[in-house]
Amino acid sequence: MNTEQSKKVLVIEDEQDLREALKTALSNESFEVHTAGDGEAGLQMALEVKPNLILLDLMMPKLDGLGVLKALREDEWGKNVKVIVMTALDDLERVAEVLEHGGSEYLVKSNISLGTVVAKVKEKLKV
Amino acid sequence: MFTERPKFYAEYIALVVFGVLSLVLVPAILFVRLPYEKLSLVAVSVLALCVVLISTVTYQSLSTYVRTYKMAQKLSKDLLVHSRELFYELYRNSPVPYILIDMEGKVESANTSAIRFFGVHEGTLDGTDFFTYIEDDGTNKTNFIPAYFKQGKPISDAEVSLHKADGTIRYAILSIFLYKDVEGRQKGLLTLVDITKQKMVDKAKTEFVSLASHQLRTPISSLRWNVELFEGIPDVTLTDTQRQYLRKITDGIARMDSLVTDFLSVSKLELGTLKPHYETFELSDFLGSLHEEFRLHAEKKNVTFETNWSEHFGPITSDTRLLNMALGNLLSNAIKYTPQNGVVRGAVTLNESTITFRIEDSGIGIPGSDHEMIFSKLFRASNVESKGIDGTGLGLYIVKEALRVIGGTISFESREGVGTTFIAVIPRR
Repeated sequence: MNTEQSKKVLVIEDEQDLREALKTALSNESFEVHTAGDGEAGLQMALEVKPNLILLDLMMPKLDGLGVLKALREDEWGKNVKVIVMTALDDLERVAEVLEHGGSEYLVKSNISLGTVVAKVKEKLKV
Repeated sequence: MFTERPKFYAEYIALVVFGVLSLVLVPAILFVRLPYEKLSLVAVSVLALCVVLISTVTYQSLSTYVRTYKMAQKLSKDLLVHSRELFYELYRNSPVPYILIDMEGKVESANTSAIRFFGVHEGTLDGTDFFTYIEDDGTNKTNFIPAYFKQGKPISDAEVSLHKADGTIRYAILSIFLYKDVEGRQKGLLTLVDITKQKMVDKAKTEFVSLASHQLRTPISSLRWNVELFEGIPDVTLTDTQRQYLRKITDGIARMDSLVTDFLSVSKLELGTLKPHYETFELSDFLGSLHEEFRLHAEKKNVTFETNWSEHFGPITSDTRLLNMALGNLLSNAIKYTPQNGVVRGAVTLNESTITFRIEDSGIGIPGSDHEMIFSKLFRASNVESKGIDGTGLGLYIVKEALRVIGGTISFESREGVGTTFIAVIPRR
């Protein structure tokens, strides 16, 4: 693994199983993966680590995904970071709201494979 | 009613003059021996007496009439005062919030319910601009109200959110009726129907379904992704039996996912949380995605899937999610109930007012005795169990309900052993 050229991906996801599955799949593709289990910790880590891309769950405790997205867009660095928002099928009503706040991609977890998530990340980062 | 007092003075004067003349004339005839001396004293006396009697009766009648008139006038005044008081009491104590505003929207008066609605003291609302209490929701749904009213147009049943004195939000149905005050100036009578509780219940329902969806889907995603990771482990060779087990796990996950989708769809339809969101989109693009999704299902089962969906139909306005729910279930059923080497056909026709989707299969068909029940919740046709075809009996119920929400209908033609055609019709908006 060539760590010097590794791009940083931050996974903000409250479900441990999903967080770990994403971490494994992305690590297998040579990304430097950071993880956070809630919105507050995720936002703090994002501003510290400054990843190339953030995979952001929408429904989370403490601070939800939309709150993280809004806070990021108010930050000088965060306003340009690539964000892929992930959620359950029934949050589809919030697609417009997410896109409005600069979520560049919207993935529905329940009907997407891990391979597709990784492919989207690679596509966004032009890897 | 009694707007002008009748003139009785002439009658009074005539009565007095005639009476006096009668009393003076009779003695004059008797004692002064005028040319009327030959007149019978008795006849003249009777005449005079009659005149006096008539005069007395007339006077009595007129007096009664005047007394009645005065009483009626007083009663009329009392009634007016009473009805004003009654109207004011009804206005003040009505459970419906009433607010009187001028044509600029300034509050002139607010009843007790309105004061309570806004959580303020009496008089606090007076003189304030009512329209500043309407919360701007960033849409044009409520922004039109002030301008519309100021043009002299009434407002009917507009759903608004209003902020109270303490900053909290209340939801209401607002109407403004126009009226003229005693001086002929146009004013507005504003009524509010408090729907805050109803809104809260709706919100709770939506949150429940959203939470249930999240909680049920998360373990499914976890299972699916971990199976994927397992399959992707390099240098692991599985035996045929192990692969078979893994395929069963994958199939089970897919079935669970489909069940959760069905149950959540039914919950949302029954809780009324699935409100239509209309948008304009290219019908060909929408059908293209649907075709792509179900082509793979059909291929897996070796069923031919033919459509006229690649034609250019132009833009239509509907709710893509509900339309997808309805057509997706119809296609899923068509493929599921069609045996290998069968055919499923999809066709769309548009006319001025409707769009018709036909989904035809060469499947097992629906027995005639089941036709009436086929759209009922949890009902499964009697011939599917024997053929071992899995299902929940929710699919066609979801189709019917999803179409109902967007103003559509569903019907079918079927022959057992030959096939079924479902016809979904939606309005062209």
